[in-house]
Amino acid sequence: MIDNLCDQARTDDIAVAGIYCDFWGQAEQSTLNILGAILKQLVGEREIPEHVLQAFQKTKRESGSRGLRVPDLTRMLKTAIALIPRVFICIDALDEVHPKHLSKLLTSLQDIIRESPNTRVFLTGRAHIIGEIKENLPGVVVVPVSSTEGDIETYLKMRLGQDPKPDAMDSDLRADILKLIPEKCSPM
Amino acid sequence: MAQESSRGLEGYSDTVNISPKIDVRGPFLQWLSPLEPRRRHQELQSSRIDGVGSRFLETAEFRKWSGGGDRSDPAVLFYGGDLGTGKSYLK
Repeated sequence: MIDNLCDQARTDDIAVAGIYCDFWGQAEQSTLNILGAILKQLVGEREIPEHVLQAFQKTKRESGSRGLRVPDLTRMLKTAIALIPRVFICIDALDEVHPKHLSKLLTSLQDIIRESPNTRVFLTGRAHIIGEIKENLPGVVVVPVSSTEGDIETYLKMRLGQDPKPDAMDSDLRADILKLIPEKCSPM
Repeated sequence: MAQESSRGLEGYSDTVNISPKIDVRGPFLQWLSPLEPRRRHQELQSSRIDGVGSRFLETAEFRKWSGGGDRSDPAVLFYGGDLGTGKSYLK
């Protein structure tokens, strides 16, 4: 998805940021770190607004540590987004973010979208978090993963194409593999 | 004495203006977040097969979301499904 959007982003008019979440990284994947990683990518090679850098130096000086808070970061994100015509934010496996961070993250995203209509957000996850997403992001459009049969067939064909001894398999076996495995993998 | 040192600095004003930006950028980005999603992205890129998830990319929902940028188009898209259904591998 990120590459697909980046292919469109041939100019400076579009910026794409993407985050992958997973259970193993929950401790690190706080709202703060996720929003920070989004900003980090949006800024990319672009020039960092002077007042954002000043805010950074001030906070660092005052607190002596990271001292960054979610509202500060949300504000910085809005400032950065306002300078870019179109922004895409992708977050993969949102259901694997720790529940205590999820609603805060969604609230920040809603805040950003409301103020910056040039923002597009793409989220993936398992269906059980749909309720929470709808509650926090009322305009969300839900697209269920409808079928993976086509994808499994694509994968099998690729693997069969790599078979070091293709002559050892007759066409019936090949046809059976391409028919039965996708069937067995499909949800009942 | 004070006058002398301020005059001395004037000569270097260009350097003084430029160097903080160079010095600050790296620490600033690190301060924003320790997460490095690029690494995971590269792993997925190398194991991805062309054409996976293409059905989703042809849906009207995706086209509207990624397309025009009209205010009436949806700003948020949620692609929901079970583990192992290829959500991370969409291209």
